[in-house]
Amino acid sequence: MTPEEQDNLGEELSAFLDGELGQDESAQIERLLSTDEQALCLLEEVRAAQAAARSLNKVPAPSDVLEEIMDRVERLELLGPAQDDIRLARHKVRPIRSALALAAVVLVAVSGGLYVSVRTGQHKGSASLEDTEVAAHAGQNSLSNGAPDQEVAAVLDKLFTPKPEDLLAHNSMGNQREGPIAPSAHDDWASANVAPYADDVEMNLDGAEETVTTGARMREAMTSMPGDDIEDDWSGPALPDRASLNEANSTLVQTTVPSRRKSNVSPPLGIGRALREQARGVSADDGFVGPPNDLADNEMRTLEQKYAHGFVLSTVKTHQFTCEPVRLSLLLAGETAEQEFAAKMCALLTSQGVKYVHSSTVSTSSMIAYEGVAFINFHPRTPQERQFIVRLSPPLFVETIKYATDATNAKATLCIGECSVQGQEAVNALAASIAGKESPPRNSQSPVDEGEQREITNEGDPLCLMKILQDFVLATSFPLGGFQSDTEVACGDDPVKGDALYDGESDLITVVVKLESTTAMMEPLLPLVTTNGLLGFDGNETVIPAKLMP
Amino acid sequence: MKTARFEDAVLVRQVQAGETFAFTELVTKYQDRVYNTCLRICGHTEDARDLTQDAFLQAFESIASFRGKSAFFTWLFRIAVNMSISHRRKRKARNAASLQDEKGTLNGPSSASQLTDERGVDPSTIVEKAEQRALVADCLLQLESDQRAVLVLRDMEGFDYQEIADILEIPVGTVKSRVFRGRLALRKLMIASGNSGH
Repeated sequence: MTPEEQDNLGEELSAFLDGELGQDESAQIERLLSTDEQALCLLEEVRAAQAAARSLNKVPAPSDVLEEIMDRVERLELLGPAQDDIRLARHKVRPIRSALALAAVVLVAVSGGLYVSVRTGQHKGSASLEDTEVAAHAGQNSLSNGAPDQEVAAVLDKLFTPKPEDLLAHNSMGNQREGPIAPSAHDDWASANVAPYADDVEMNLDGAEETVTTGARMREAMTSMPGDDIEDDWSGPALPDRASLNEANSTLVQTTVPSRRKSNVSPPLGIGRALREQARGVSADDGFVGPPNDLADNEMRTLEQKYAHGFVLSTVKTHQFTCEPVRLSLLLAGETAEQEFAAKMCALLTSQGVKYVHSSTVSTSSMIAYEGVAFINFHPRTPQERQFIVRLSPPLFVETIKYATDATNAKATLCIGECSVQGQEAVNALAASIAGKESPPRNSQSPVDEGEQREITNEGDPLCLMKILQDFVLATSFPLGGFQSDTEVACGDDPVKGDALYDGESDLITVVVKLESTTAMMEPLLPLVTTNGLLGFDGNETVIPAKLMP
Repeated sequence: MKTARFEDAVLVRQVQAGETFAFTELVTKYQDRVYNTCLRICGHTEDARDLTQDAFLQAFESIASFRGKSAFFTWLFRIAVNMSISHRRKRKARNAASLQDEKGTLNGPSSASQLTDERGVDPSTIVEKAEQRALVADCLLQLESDQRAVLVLRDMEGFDYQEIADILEIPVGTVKSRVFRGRLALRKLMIASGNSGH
């Protein structure tokens, strides 16, 4: 057997051990092994090596790796790639650290020796104790100045203000204080660093009148955000004018939304909850003892609606069905204004009964960690900086899923957009939600039996996706009739009916409503969607291909 | 695996949409395997720790451009393996003995569960096995980087040939060849070091 033949045989034997051969090939190898001792010997050698490699322990990652990674992710999002110098500096730091550590040891030894000398009267050198202390301080300074990660930490400390106590103070002030919020050291820093947004984002939590003023300032600031000067080229169905919008708003704001805390501030949030309760005929009495809230004059709410301009189903998770369906995504301009705004917004939200404010990229997430209903997300890397305020209604989502499942033979996992329904508990919860509706689900497979999962598949027929989308449009009376397309879309890209993203590799269906990202264009749509239970939009400029615009 | 890929795809989409917390789930899911892979390729615990972090951070930085043509874990392991191999090459001059705790923490009876598994076994046998593992790990580090990578991915992480091919972006035939050659080389090194493994 030549070396080449031996190599070929060895490869086959190795693959045979790994179960990588087909039935015929395996049978061939087995026949060979029964007659060829040389092949058998080679197989044993390969098997021994395989067993040796497999004998090595699987070493788990250190317990703090996750935390370190997410810290760096957060830092990266805040400061950008160039500022994440840990990776770049790590190997440089080590020698520096080693040298500094050595210097520190020497310094401590010297100073310790001097100290002992002075104490014992055996000091023969010329250096005094004071001199030694000065040297020690100098050493400390050099240590702190020489470690890049400490510098980064200092920068981050500065960026991550306000501190939790500041937020708590803001929260308590929102409920108790009479006067304006007193400036703090953080405010000084912010006013020096976040202009021109500092004034715009300032919120006075003392009363509605002040809030109106602040809201007006905010709206004024936001109206000049990048991208707002884009000309609308909407040529779709006729949309309601401003009067219709106001009329719809005035209908909506007749709802009295109880706050969960005693507060004399009209809560800007809770519309989704109120409407949901209204739709279900459920009393909204949750022990609220404050004055009724009239949302008609609430500038914050107007602001929310004004700048809400998109809708992505993916933002709702199944486990949120029973939660307050409020999700806030704030995209703000500036590098540091976000921090200030986040602090203020967190204070405002928590003062209004929102129990959980999560900020994925801002350290305020750890400052206000209540039970989750609201999210504030910052996208500092997003080129078009905008403010999103999103409210999603679970009934709408359930309806959507119902229509979607009706349109297909769902079998395993249901996913609309990026929202997946996975796991028996979640699927059952979904099924129960659907079953609880007045009109029973048309899909005979619902509710899901124990152990069963459902899946939306295209069943080899991309047209079923079109049916989902058409049903979705019909269900929501959504006038656009357009859905985002992508290169991976399995169905057509009819600009009128729209289509969906279907990733055959992952069986992921993404239904994305096609919306233009300009605020002005979104504004008239609000009454239409709110009458269908959808209380807002979440836009994502990156998923809106211009080619599908009518 | 299909379910895992589906879950990953959902999480990736969430991260791409700016929901950073979804990345936490991805890290949680893969940190042990990525760390173990980095460790076995680079051979140093601290470096493996750094490489694991760097790999995840690189993935996060580039996730906007991840189009889902391949599975997320394939993409992630590609980053981790490439980083580890590159790192290993740069530090090749470093003494292989820097695998400081190979005879202790890494391949010894490191976990209580393992000790429990081996209860009733002669302590000298446990020590002997630990020494054998240390030797294997040492031999593994002496392999060529490409061979070491495929053996780690195949025999330690359990990837099949196609997945390894996807991770390393090489043909399946090359994977097959490298696995065999790597095993043969490992076997020779073990015998040369006085451990037949039988």
